[in-house]
Amino acid sequence: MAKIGLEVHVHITSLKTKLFCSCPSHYAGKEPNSVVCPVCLGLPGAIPVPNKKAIEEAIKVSLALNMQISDKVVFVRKHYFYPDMAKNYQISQYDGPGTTPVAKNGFIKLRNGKTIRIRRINIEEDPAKIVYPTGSLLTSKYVWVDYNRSGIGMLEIVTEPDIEDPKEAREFLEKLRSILEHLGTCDCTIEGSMRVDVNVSVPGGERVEVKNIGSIKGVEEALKYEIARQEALISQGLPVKRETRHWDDVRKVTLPSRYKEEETDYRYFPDPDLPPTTITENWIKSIASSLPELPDARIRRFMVQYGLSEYDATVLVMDKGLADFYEDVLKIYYKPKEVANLLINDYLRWINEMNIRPSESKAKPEYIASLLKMMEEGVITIKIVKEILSDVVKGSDPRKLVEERGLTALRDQEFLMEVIKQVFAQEPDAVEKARRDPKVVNYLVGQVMRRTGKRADPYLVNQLVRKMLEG
Amino acid sequence: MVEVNEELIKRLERLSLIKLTPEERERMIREVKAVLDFFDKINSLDLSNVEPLFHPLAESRSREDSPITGLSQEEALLNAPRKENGFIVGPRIYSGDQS
Ligand SMILES: [Zn+2]
Repeated sequence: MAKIGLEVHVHITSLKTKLFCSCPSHYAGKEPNSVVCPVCLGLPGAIPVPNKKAIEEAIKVSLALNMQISDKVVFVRKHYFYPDMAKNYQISQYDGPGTTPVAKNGFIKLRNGKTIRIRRINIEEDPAKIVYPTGSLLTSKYVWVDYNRSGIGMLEIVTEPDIEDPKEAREFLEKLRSILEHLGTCDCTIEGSMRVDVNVSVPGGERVEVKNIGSIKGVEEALKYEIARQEALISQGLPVKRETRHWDDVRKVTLPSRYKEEETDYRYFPDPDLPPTTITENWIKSIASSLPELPDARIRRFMVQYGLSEYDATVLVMDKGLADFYEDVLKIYYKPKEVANLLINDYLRWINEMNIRPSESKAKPEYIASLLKMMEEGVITIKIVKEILSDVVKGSDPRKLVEERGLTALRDQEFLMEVIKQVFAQEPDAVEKARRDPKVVNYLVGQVMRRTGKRADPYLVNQLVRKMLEG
Repeated sequence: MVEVNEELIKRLERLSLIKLTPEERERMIREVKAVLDFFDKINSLDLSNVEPLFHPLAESRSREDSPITGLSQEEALLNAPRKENGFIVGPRIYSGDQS
């Protein structure tokens, strides 16, 4: 069994400015190095001033993750040399003499009741973005640096090594993401807003760190690869050495990383530019009183209010966008179980196939409502619903689709009886058997369905065929 | 107490990404020793009932979350020795073997 710990870095996307300067924090699509100032460029003499809202967001997350919150926010300098950090230190937090993280000792509960402990949450600034103009990280002769991202407020959430397999890691991250999205702290659909470092070891081997994985799926893949690699070494009697590796998302492998191993010494010390900020009980109370409904509470509400199973409620709530969409559909079409079934069994499949998040779907709640309404009215069958759902996810109005493609279910009994008579005439043997064996009835129904281009209402056809057999 | 020797100075060189000449290294050994001796003197005082002070100011200022326009790209790149397409050019990063 593997031992896995995660370090999750999330952008606090709810902020309008960076962590220590008033530069706008929304830099997507901006020219490189155009959303910067002396502070985030690391120019000598520039003085950082903490963003109060960033501290509030950290407290919000800490409350949601059941953490013990520090009575003060202290920032430290973490020293290293890398082109993404102009001042040669990152302003971060640390558990050491005179310094403490904003919060410690929390947890998240998984579906099976297992507790994953969270060691600490740090508030820290993001480094600049590195671009490799002449190849990849491995081959580029030099790099381009864009400081627009430098100084963006982040939270580093570190777990204890309580996770035992890649699936658990995925579930933990999905729940964490859902909590962050319910809090409004991080819109994780934004490219690069969640990055994960994993620590993983297998029995008999040292701990290996895999850095900078950009997606939850990537974490699961990297862990699977790394566990297989380590187990293969051990089964061959080779050592798994302690090292830092890097995840190559294209080739789906981990590779040994930049440093020849010497225990990294970041030389942490309290940043003299940043005196502590006191967190008072009252401040925490007022933030706690304004917390929104969180995933666990929402799952329970979905079960009580809508009569959903725990499994269905969990699937919906694990993605805030999906849960919101579900409730928006219910506002127009209040059939909680039918809507949940369609979303979970069919709608999600297309979302996953298209490799997007539910919040990125172009389907409107009205579309799902009219799909189910049309089915209820017998205008279309579930088959048609499933058939056109992928186009609905891409933004097509199902009513129009059904009209344009002539998908209306055939409920014209006279017409259907004509077809059934044809089938009976051509399949006398099957008709004989069907009188004795009900299973053969399905075969006849299938023949009718085929001749109507699958547009007939199967329930109605079934009734009519039985009537014919008796009559 | 840490022993200040050539090995330690070399480690500090690596950590600070600088290179010293043997003469400079000799000088550093003397100076780092002097600094540490000074801290030793402070350590000999009984300060058990004094709260450690990490910052001269007790409380930080903080800032509201409202954006202010900073530097233009042109201004931001003024001091960069090498630039390309609006980026600052930096050294290659990866030096691990690819085995
Ligand atoms: Zn700035």
